[in-house]
This record gives sequence, structure tokens and C-alpha cells, in this order.
Amino acid sequence: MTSPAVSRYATLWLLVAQMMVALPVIEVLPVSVMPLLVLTLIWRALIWFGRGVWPSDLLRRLLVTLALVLIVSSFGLQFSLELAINFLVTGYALKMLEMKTRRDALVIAYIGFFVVGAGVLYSQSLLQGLYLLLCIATLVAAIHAMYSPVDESSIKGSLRFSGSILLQTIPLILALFIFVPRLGPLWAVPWPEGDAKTGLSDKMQPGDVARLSQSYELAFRAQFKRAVPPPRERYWRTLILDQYDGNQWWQSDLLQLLSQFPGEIDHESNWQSRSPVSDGWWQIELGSYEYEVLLEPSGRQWLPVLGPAASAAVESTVLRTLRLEADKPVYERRLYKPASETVINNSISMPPWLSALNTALPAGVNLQARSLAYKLFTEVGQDPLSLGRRILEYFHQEPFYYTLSPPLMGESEVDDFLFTYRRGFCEHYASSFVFLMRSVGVPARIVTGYLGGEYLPEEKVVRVLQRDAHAWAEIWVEGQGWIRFDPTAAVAPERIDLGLDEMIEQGGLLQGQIPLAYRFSQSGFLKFFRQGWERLEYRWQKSVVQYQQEKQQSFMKQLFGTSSYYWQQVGVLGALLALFSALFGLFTLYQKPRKNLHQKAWCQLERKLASKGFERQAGEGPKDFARRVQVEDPILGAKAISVVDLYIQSAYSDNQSLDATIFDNLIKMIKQL
Amino acid sequence: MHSTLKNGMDTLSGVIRGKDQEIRLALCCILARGHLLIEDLPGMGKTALSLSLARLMGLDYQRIQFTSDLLPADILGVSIFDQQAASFQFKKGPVFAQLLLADEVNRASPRTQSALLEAMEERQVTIEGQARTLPEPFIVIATQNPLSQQGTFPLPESQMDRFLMRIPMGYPDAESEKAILRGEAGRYLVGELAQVITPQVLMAMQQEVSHIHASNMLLDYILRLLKATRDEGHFAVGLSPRAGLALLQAARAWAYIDGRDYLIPEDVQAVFVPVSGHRLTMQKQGISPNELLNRVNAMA
Repeated sequence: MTSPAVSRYATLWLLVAQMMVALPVIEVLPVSVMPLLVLTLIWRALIWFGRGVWPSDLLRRLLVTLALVLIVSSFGLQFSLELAINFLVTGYALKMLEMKTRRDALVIAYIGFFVVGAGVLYSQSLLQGLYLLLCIATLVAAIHAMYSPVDESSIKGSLRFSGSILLQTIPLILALFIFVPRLGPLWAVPWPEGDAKTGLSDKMQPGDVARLSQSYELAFRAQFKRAVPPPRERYWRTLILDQYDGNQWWQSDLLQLLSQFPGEIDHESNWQSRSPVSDGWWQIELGSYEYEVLLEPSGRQWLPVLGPAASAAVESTVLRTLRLEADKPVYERRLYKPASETVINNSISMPPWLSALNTALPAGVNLQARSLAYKLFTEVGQDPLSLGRRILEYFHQEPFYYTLSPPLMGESEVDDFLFTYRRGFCEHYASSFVFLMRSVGVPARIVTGYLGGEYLPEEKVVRVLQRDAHAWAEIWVEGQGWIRFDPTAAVAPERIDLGLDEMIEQGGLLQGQIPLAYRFSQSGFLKFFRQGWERLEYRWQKSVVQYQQEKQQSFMKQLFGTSSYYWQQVGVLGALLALFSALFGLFTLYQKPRKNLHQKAWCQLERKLASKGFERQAGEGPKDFARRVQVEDPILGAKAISVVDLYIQSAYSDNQSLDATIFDNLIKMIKQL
Repeated sequence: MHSTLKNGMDTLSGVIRGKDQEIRLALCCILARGHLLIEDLPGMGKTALSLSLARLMGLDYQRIQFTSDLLPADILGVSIFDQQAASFQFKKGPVFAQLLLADEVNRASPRTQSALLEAMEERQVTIEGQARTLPEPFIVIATQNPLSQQGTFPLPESQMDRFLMRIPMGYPDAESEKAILRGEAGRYLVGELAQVITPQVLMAMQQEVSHIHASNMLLDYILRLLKATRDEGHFAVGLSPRAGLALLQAARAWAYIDGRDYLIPEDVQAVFVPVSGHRLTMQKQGISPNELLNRVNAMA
């Protein structure tokens, strides 16, 4: 049975749908695959215009092979999400070149739905959701166009049809969304390591944070319960970098420490280990800020927290550097509620190995800086805290500038920065500060994270972008613990108080390019619109995308008032399913023509005979059936024949007067059979 | 009347051995006032069957051997100028017979074919502007050779539709063939056949056939069959409403031969393949009419 051809009209729908559907995943496609896809599209369009011919079998095979080679060469053979999506999208595009029958077209439309699903993997924003809904509507319209006769099809008709179909599914969507149990993934695709999202890294080189300042990507949102901290207190502590090689800062791991300080690190006080903080180290005080963070997927384990982390949230640990680490890398948007306590440093002294770690410097470089540090240290009477303040003063008094485009520095980076260029971004200041402190033996380290964030008063939400990334320093003061120092504050206090955007506005940046996106985002109406949209987006993320297991559980509890959440849910789902199948059953029953008395009698007869092992075949008439029974079972067959004869007379003959008596007889005989 | 029919059939199967089914179908076709197309190789008893039928019913019999140069006038007849009467006299062609055997109908040109086919449908011919009614009953039995297609003009679908049934003859079974070889059956016996039915009786029977009762349930079954030929893409074109009528009529004749005055599904099934076979064009991956019959539920 050959499937009918696809109308030109339906093909057009499919082409449009294909372009729309591929858009959300286009960033995943490597540059080498793109031309192939564009070529396929153009080719199919040419065929549509009657200017092209269908590719031959050989050519199609060649195209597929080429596509496979291109994909594998850009992703390698290791299975990853990108690889899978590339296969899907390329197959989707190439299939268009052999779409001749309706069957092919249906396959293409169904693959389209799959690609829409793949789009959800990359973004779950409200805009993306609306767009994907539009894609689905287009696909449904394409299917409608496939089945509608050519002379009756119209864009409006197909759209109206798909719109009404989508509207009809809304109750089902809602019910499934609310009630379907959220199970853990049955399988997982590894997140590509090298292709991590823009964001903080566990290594910091000069220029890293400055690069981030170009990114308008959202890092996280924080919603505050009561008070909201002023901008200068919004230090989102994320990473602690304590290892330095003269150029790069990074976070030490346990293995490294064990080789660096053999025998000194006791397991109980493992440095960045997962073991919880022992109480003797820190003292915890109830803080004034209560908030929850909605973190965008970062592919990393660290979680930003306002100030030092005090106690762990769900599925995370507080490390001994007092930062919060998730148990697994964050691949989907994650909501967590950091403890609202503030950590107060205890007056405990630092173990020797820790102090050695935090004062280590590469030998032989930045000699000028070292001597400056000694000079200042003696000036302030060898007091670490005063030295810190003195260095800030130094930055403030000397002609230091804050810039987004710092010059390249040479081998002795700190020297070059402090004495030659004197222009830099926060990481230069933080790095130099820590260097100076360490030169005179004061334990110091770099902290990276975010500073500030845009405050949306209506929602009490602080929105932190990647461009709010910041680096500052912490020094150890005996008796007081780790103290935060932000050298950037000394150079560009407006960065701290106002944030990067305002600072640019007021011309506070010297020699910094003003990003184009910034200029566009600041006009009054656009800003208003953007903020309104942001609020909407936040609500969407919080109430829809974040409606995961926990939220569902609490919602169910609210709904049913008991804690046996799971069975309630299964019950509701079952009830819904029963309701739907009942409606469906009623619908089909209503559609089915009703059986007349004779047909009912015949069904009864068939059941009787079926119980004795004789099934009537579909095409078999009553007499033939009875005869077949007789061949196999003469006694039963004889009875069956007489019953069937009676049935035939009753059901098919014109003899109305006899009918009632014959029919009664028939029923009796069937019963006796 | 029914016994007469049975009697006739027995007589026929004495001559045409081992072909009871074909005989019955042919008879059924005649009772339903239809024309019959027999499709088989030469020497399979096509002529014998038609000749026997003519003898059995005492019908006026004519045979035309179709060739490619046969003209419509050769079938319908011509007007010849009579010098004595000084006027044109119409000489009736072979079509003016009660039973016409059109041998190898696909050998003639389409023009000639359509002359015959018009006569079949209208039961009258128009010659020189004058309509002439054909005798009653008027039955055409046409034969065609399915294999030799060279130099033939295959009948188009629209003309195939004029035939109520198309049946193959098929080889006789061994025993019947032995009887033929021994001379106990066969064409030369046709001359000895006694007339069992008169044309008047035949016409009365035809009348009765059309009064056979078809119940609602049975009509539903026919509708299901028709729908199945149209809907599921097994055939290029499904059966037409006229084909549905033909099916019903043929089934009635079948029931009549069985001695029933109402239809049951088996009657429809018995005639479905001969009635629909030549009206349906099978698709490459489609199913045969017989297969279709097995699939459509006879009882709903």
C-alpha cells in the first residue's frame, strides 16, 4: 500500500516548521555541519520551486556519510548530548531530501516534535517556552496540511486547527504537569566538560573576570524574605583561591595539599574537604538576611552565598573555606536556601600548614613589590590589619585606574601592575593585594564571586549577571579570623556602591569600552519593559520550571493534608486516567452504531461457539461457519447448523409475521447449545 | 420452477463435466439479466458452455468471431438496396439474437467493441437513425484470451463494467477430463441436449430474482464491502454504486438458484469475486478481492 504524496502546501509547512524548530538548538551545531544543513534546506526549497531534482540514492548515502564524518570529527566518538542532538537535527534535515510520501512527511513531523524537546534541554525560559509552543503549533498545522485536500487547505485553516488542538490539550497538560510524579532521570548524558557555561572558573588569571564583565548572561537570582542588603554588602562568596604560581590563582585540592604538607594535615581538619566544619573553628550568629537563590546551570559544583557559608543546604556541604559546595555539578537550574546565619570568626589560631599555604609565593619574581610590602609593613608597625588599610590607601593615593581593558603585563606581573601600568580590573587589585600581604607573611587569599546585582524592588529579588563577577581578598588576623578586604573599593568605590552599569553611566570607567548591549539596555522604556519581563521570567522559573519533586510534594500535602504523598499522587493520576478513558470510552461507544436484536443474538451464539473452541473468521458467513463447525465436530455442528438456519430465516428473510416466534425459538436454542 | 432450474443444471453438467461452479455462475448471470465475460485459453469449453446454455433454454443463438477488421455493421446489420422493391431493406446482423457469443472480443477495434457494448447496455441498437429493439431476453457471452495480448485492444474499465461477471473456466479435474476423452462428455453432445427451460420461463425467473428480499443487515454487509474497496487503498479505484447494484442482483440470482427468497451473506460472497474482479484494478501492494472478502466482517 503506497502512501499518498505530500502536497506542495504541506511541504511548505514542514520547511517552515523545520527552520523554526532548529533555531533553539542551532548554537549546538558546529560550524562544519551548518553549511550542510543550509544546503539541504536550499536543495529542498529548489525542489519545491521545481528547479531541483531529487538526490539519487547514492548521493543521499554520500550526504549521510559526510554528515556523520563532520559530526564525529567535531564531537569525537564519546557519547554526549551535543552529539545526540546533532545526529537528530542532521537526520531531520536530510530526511527532507527523501520526503515523497505522506508517510515520510509524518516521520519528519514527529522528529520535529523530538527536536522541540531537545530545545527544552538548552533553555527553559518563558520566552523559549512560548517559542517552542509556537513550533508545536506549526508542526500540528503541518500535519493538518498533509491530510487536508489541496483545494481546501489554507494557512488560516491549518493554524486554526492546530490552535484548537493545542487549546484542547491544555487541561491534560495541566493535569499531567501537576500530578505526574517527578522521577529521577533513568539515564543521563554527560555534560561536555570543555564547553562549560560562561562563569567563574576555579582558576583565575588576570583578565578572566574582566572578560566575564562582557557577559550579560544571568548567573543567579536571589529572593530576600525581609531586608535586602545594600549593594556594598552584596558580596556573593563563591570560590576561594589559595594557590599561586606567579600568574594564576587556583583552589587547592586535597591531593595537592597532601603532597605539599606531608603528614601535617589531619583528616579531621582536611582543608577543602567535604567533612563538615568542626564547631571550634567558627562561631555562628543569627544573621539578618533570609533569602533563597535560584542558580542558573553552571556545570560546576560551587554555590554562591552571601558572605561565608554557615550551614549546608539540601544536597550540599560547607567546606572548611566556608564556601558551599553542591554534591553534584549543577546542570539544571537549582533552587537552594543558604542558612541565614552569619559566621563570626573565632579566636582560634591557624595550624602551621595552613598558614604556610596562605603565605606561599613563588620565589624570585616581583621583587619591587616585596620591598614595597616590607616598607609599608614597617611603617604601620607590623600590624596585618593596618597593613591592609595602608595598601588600600596606597591604591587610593597613587594614580591607579580601574579599567575593563587592562594592558598585558610581563613576567613580573605584580611589579608591572603596581609600578608600570597601574591600570587593571578587580582581579589585578585583589591579586596584588594578596601578593603584598603574603610577602610579609600575612596569610591571605583570593575570593571570587559576584558583587552587587540588580535589585528589583517589587519582587525583592536581586538579579546577578555574569558581568557582576568580582574578585577580592581575605586576610587572616590572629584572634579575628579571616577579614574581607576589597582593594577595588579603594580605586573605584562607585563599582562597589553602584555596580558596573551605573559606574559606566557616570563615566567612572577609564579607557573601558562601553558595551553596546549596555547602551541599548538603558533607555527608559526598554528598561521598564526589561524589568517587567524579568519579573515575569522570575515567576515562571520559580513556579513552573522549579516545580520539581520537593515543590510537588509540598503542594500535594497542601492539597490532601496528609503526608503519604506518593500514593495520593498515584491515586489522583489513576483517577484522572480513569476519567479520561471513561470519557474516551463513552465517546467511542456513542460513535459506534448500536447493535440490533439479531446482531446481539448472533454475538451470543458466537460466544457460545467460541467457548467450545470455534472462532468465526471475519469474512466467514453464518452458514459457512456452521458447516466448518460440523466438519470438525459433527454433533455440535448439526446443532449449530439448525440454529444458524433459524437465525438466517429470522435475520435475513422477509417473513415478518413469523419473526417473533422464530426469534424466541432462536434465543432458546442458542441458550441450549 | 426451482426444480426446473436444478434439472437444467444437472443436464448441463452432464455435458460440461466438473465445472459445476462455473455453470452455476453463468446461470446466475443470466438470471440476473447480466452479460458474462469468460476469460480463458482456447479449448477450455467456453463455446461449449455458451452453446449448451442456449440449447438448454431454447434461445436463439448467434456467434461472432471478433477479428481486428470486423466492422460495427458486421455485428449490427446493414441496409441493402432491393432493386425489385426499389427500397432499402435492413438485413439484421448477428446481434439480433437472444444469446450472442462474442468470441475473442478483445481482438476487434474499439469502434466495433463499443457497438456491441452499446447494444449490451441499452438492449437496443440504433442503425441509420432508427432504434431497433433487441430480442428478449438478450444475453451476451463474450470470451477473451488473457494471454495473447499482441494485436488486441483490451477493453477499458468502463466497458468491462458492462459485464455483470467475469469468470475463468479453468482446467477440468482428472476424472472429468477422462470422461471427455472417453467421449462421455463434451461439445459434440451439445446437439443432443434437450430444452429444459423456455425463454418465457426464463424471463419469469428473472422477474422473480429481482424480488428476492435483501434485509437491512445484508445491505449493510454489501456497503461494508464497497467501502472497503474504496477506503483502504488496496485498489486504484473502488467499486461504483452500479457495481454495488450488480453485486446485489447477482447475489439474488445465486440465492434464487439455492431456492431461497432472501439473501444471506454467503450469496454475496459467492458472487463477489466474479462481479468485482474485473471492475477493480489491484494495486502493487494491495490485496485480491478474495482476500478482501476474508477481511471484511460478514456479520458486523
